[in-house]
Amino acid sequence: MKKRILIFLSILLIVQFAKAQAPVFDTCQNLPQYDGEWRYINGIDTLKIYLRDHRFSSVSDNGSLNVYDRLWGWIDYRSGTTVIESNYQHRFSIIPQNYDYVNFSMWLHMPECNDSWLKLRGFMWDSQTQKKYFDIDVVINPAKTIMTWKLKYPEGYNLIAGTEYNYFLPKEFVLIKQ
Amino acid sequence: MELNKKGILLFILSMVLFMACHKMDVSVENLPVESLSKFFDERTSSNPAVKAASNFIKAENNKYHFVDGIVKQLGYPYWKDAIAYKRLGDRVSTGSSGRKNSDSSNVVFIPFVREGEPEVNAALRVTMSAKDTSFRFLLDWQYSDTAATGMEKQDLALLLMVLHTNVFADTLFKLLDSTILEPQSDKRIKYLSINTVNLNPQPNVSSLLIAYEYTMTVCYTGYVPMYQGQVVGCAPGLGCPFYTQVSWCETISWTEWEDDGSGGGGDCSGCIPPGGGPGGGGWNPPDPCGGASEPIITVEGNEPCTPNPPGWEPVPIDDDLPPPPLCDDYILSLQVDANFAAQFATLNQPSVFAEGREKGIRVNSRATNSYGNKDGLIGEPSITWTFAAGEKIEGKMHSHFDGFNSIFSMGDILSMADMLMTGNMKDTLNYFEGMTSRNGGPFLMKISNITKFRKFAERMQDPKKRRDFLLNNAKIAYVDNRGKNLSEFMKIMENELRSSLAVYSGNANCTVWSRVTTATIPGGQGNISISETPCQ
Repeated sequence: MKKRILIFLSILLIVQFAKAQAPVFDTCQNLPQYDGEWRYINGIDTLKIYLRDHRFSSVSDNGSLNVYDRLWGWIDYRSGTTVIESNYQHRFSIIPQNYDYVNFSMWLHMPECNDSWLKLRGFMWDSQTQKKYFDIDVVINPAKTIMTWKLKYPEGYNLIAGTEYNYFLPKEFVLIKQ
Repeated sequence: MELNKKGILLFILSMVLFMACHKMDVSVENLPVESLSKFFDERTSSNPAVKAASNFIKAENNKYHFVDGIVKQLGYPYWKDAIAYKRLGDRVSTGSSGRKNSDSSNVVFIPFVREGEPEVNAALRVTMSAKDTSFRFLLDWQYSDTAATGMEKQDLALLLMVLHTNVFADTLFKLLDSTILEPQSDKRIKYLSINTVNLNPQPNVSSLLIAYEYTMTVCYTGYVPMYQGQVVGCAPGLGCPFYTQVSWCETISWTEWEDDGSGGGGDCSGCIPPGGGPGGGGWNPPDPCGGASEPIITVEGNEPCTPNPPGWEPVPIDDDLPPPPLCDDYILSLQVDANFAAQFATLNQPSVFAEGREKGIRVNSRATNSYGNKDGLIGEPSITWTFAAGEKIEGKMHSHFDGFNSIFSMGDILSMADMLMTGNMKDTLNYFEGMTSRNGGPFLMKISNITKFRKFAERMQDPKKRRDFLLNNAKIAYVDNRGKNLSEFMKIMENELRSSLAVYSGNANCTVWSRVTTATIPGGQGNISISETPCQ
């Protein structure tokens, strides 16, 4: 009888383990140190970017679960009093599991989660059409107080004439931690 | 002693039961939350009508808590694969008041799939107008019960097949019930493949109640065995040419009754505000054990409430077909095309990779040896291509410069999807993109399943889905490791593109191509092995 119970329990355990599907993790514990506001002001232009680390997941078409750690970013870019790009008022929004309805501007990741490289990469899009994509390369100073940003068209992106678009932020800029 | 043994046994059994029940308690607490999240937050759609239907059901569930029951019976909704269309305000007449309205309504068909089952087993039809929202469950086992569904049996069968095609991309169906479709020249159709679907709602008017007849047209190819009575042991396809084909378009129709406020009842299984007419059941899907009018199969030894099986079954893509060759005829023809190889090889040069810009070549026509060069800007990892209206090309190749990807980027895949959507592909079955770089390449990716790739391309027109897809760039970007990049890229091909593109690697002269395939490493925690098999 004991044998049967053991077999029964073993089958239960096997079934439980068989049901579990291991998600794919792209996580990184080094991102929170960059949370907060980063700003550039030159007397005319004001560019503020607010970064928040957040873990989220998405399901690929074949049903596998991907878990990501990313810095989520919100932008406020003004020339004088003219707002060029802004969704800054959403920077404290609660991010639900279905993040389709959150107005944000970028995802940044740390390559290989290696903090010593002092680099972040990712991509951003405009808040209005959400169709203007740019790749982002960020270099951080060793004190982690200054970020140098460079924007590029998405790598390899073969834009078809008529669908191309202009940069909505400067192609290069420097931000200071606030 | 015997009593002690029994006591120990009882104790062990009690502990087992306790542990089992304890576990179940946790599950029961978690299940609704997980089910809810999975029900509403996965496989979502950006279509406003589908979102509205989802929000409506969510609000209803907050009041009546039915989602768990639906999940148990029908599985989960695939919002992203729903059929949705809007009927514009064309109401032209009403009841005794004689008023003229012009409101509009949205109709959404949401497919349901049980976990682990590779087919759509039901649809939920939600009709939303300014005044009413009504809904009706349509289950596969109900297809011959026209009274319960309000639809002809071939209409419901075709509708569920179309939804299945949306979810799983299978287009071929075996008809288990040969009476679903009318015979063609006295011969019964054994298989059918869905070709096109057009939504064409039309208004209709009755006296006190306003009836709208909604229609959609489904065009299909029917497969009839060549010889009457012949038993064909394979599904129609390349390896099974024993069928004649007939093309047909079926108009699926159903009627929605909308209350004009004069007090009549509507025809819906669930009406909001409540108080609908016949065929009620609300948010509980029709249950074969619940006294439904559907005849029940009762076979000794079976569960007493086994419903009639649906009269069709999907033929999974590539099932019953001989395995396709690793390298198709088009790739084999590229391999012996000296002009193509010479053109591509001009990009595969160290001096080109060091230029600090992308260089590209478009293949206008291999038959006439027509190629065109296009360079990117210095420092910009992209190329802007120009196409005249209606201009079509066979493919394009480009180089990535030093410091950037040594495999195709997500942008390259998106570019290919955009080319399909803008109609710039000369041959959608054989269109290709090529790339090369110092640390990886040359590579080709070519459409291998146009149905699946078109679904991907259509999805990528949604900016948010495009954004999510670009997340994959992080898996391959800036790692000058051909093996790692190729492995990650092939995972993306399988997971995100459902292997709708075939990938080939070439030699330095672009004269020998190999098909890149993957195999899962047993116990490798999702890691895959890569094979590169020369095309012959």
